[in-house]
Amino acid sequence: MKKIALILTLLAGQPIAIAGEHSVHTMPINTMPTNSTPAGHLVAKGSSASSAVMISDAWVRAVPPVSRNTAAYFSLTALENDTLLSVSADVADSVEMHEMQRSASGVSMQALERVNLPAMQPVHFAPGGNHVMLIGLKKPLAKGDSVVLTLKLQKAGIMPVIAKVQEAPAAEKAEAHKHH
Amino acid sequence: MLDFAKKWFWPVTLTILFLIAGLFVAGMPRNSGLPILSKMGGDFTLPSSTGKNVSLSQFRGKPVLLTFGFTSCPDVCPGVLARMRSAIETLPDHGKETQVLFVSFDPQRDTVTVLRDYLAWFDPAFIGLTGSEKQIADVTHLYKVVYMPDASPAGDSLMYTHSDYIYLLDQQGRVRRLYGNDDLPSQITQDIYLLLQEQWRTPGFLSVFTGHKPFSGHKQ
Repeated sequence: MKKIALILTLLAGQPIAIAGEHSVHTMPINTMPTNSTPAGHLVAKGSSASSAVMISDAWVRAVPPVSRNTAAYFSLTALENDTLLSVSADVADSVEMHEMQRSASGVSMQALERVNLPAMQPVHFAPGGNHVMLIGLKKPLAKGDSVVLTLKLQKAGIMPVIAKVQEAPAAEKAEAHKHH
Repeated sequence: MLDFAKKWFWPVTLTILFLIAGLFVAGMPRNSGLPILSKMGGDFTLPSSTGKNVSLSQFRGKPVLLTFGFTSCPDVCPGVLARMRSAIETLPDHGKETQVLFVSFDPQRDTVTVLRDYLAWFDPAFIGLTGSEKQIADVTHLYKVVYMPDASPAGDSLMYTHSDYIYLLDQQGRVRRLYGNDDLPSQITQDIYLLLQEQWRTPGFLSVFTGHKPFSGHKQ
């Protein structure tokens, strides 16, 4: 999954490189860093947009065909401070970022205008937490389908993400398998 | 011959009685250690996805997993249902002795037909219930469930703020445990397994006669 995200990052036009001996070759000449970066750190330097975001574990919750709403989840790690401005998807009438709030009276959802992505800190969209709501599915999604989500980031720009439709997060599935 | 019978009558009789007593001990209920939460719960009858009215008391003798939600719920409710299915299918009997009940507090959209189609996707044995606003208010009051429509809908979909507990009810319909979203399905599996130990069981080899599949130990 991480590999796919990396490829997508490259496709989205965000130069990304592993700093080290050969790293300079993967970057446009005019943006070659003048300062040296410690070897082994993953860095990204662009020309106008000097940022990249890594996306992993993207999935969409499989729901019964009769249901027209579902949620998408993923983890984002921005290499430099960035902001997630919006998410869109062709499969639904509208897409909203939501945050889950737990209080004594129960769970409620609050629409999020934007989500801050501090540098090198993974930000998770996960069940029971932040999630992307797909409202008004145009047609039912089946398990195993792929959904393309388009993320709009302030610095890293537009990034497409492929999310698989599945029933449960990987952790829960692994947990269930242990018992079989 | 008479001497022989006299000599062996008591040893043989006692051995047989001892074996019978052993069977009873083997089949005896064991305490699950799960407290009875008497401050909430109670019987209810509601229209259901089976097409008929269903009462909780119909499921006496079975552990019940009960939850409250609505089918337009994008994140929480499908997650809860998936966790309940995952919890019961891991049981040695694959959940045959456990009934899942889903009560919708959104009767406008969740008709019994919608509930049937929605739940069948998770497991056709799950039963969905709903009713008039008054009926729903009464049941949710019994189980201290909170639900209120959100002021601003998501897109044009009305959402609810609601509690999302899973209630484990025992074979007498009493609330024994509540699970929040942090509790793993395996915890629920374990507790249902313990509840099933609380009733009289048929020792393994006698199941040949009764046709019941005994629980021969919890698979870890």
